[in-house]
Amino acid sequence: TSAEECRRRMLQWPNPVEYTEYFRTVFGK
Amino acid sequence: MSLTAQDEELFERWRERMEALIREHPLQLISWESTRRCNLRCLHCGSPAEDVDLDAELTADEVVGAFEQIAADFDMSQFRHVNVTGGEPFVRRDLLDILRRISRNPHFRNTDIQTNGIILADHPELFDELDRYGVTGLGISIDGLEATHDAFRRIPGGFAKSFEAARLSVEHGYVTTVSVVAHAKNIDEIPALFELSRREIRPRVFRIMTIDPIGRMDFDSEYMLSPDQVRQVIDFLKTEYGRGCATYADQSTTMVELGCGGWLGRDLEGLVRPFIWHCIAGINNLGILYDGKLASCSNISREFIEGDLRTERIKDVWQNRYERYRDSDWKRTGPCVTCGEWAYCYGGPLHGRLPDHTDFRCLWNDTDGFA
Repeated sequence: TSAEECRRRMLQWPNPVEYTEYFRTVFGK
Repeated sequence: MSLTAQDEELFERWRERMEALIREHPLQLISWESTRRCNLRCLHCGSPAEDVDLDAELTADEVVGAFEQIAADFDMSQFRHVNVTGGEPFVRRDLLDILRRISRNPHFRNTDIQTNGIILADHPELFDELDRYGVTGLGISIDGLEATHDAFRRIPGGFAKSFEAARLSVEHGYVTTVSVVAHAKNIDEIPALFELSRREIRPRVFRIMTIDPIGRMDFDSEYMLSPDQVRQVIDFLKTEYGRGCATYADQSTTMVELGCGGWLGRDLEGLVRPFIWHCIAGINNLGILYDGKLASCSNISREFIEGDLRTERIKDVWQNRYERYRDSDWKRTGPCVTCGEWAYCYGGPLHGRLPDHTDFRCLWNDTDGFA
């Protein structure tokens, strides 16, 4: 869950400007 | 730091989705500039009362009618959010009545209000009422430690009231943001303000906006940030974000973020705020200004007004205008012509464009790409 890994998850989120499910997916373990 | 091949590929896919969003421009949020009136006269205000005809403010019936028209005319399947800004929203004595009426529609029950917190601190009973009318979040402006905040916002005792309003907001269960405008006279206080906020307010978000030369703030003001000071702000955010982001799934933690000051380059985007930034003005964000003019965020120059709800159907304006918001080719002048980041930022935030369309600054360009 490094910042770089969280970013990779952000970049794959369907809505490119999305920003609880988001936080769980992007920042969760 | 350089991107991996995987990161570069992910940015390309993100960019493709962003372009698709611009093409589709689904309505996902409404920014309502509730008033230009205010109980403060802050040095940096981007939408000051003295620039406009205050008598032109929409009536409560006009505001409610606009929201009802939007709910009837638009595809609301992706709608999620109403942002209420000002001025100071709570100087509208009919604000609660308007929120009560529009929140009868289930689409308008996820509402945020950006406030200086003074009236909330003086009338804490408001916290109980707001929850009934679809308000889920409150943003409280705190621009430094006590002496700095009170001088910048020109109100003795203002810090104590804003701080108390933010604390009560968290206590009442609102998703609370402490919004800080970073300027040349408070950046050295920001780490201490962050620690104080995290310890005694416990907001969900500690947001920093870099000061902009709009509204009352001039280019040559002693408050403007130098490139080195911008780097100082970004370094603080990157450090705190790196320390904390692994805990951000826990809604009780305090996240740090840079607001919409602009694109930071692919090396830094996503590492100083919990999202990849892009200006969404006029793309999925419809703005209703205090006088019924249709644009987007209230800190964007009124040169970019696209219509008027008093004389036009809102959906007609949204569907048939907003070209300047969705086709960014006109922005590509000066340093943007040869910039390798253009394909991702499309010229940066629209509030960074002057009425003659020139750009007043770019965080990426001004700092030599944060080199």
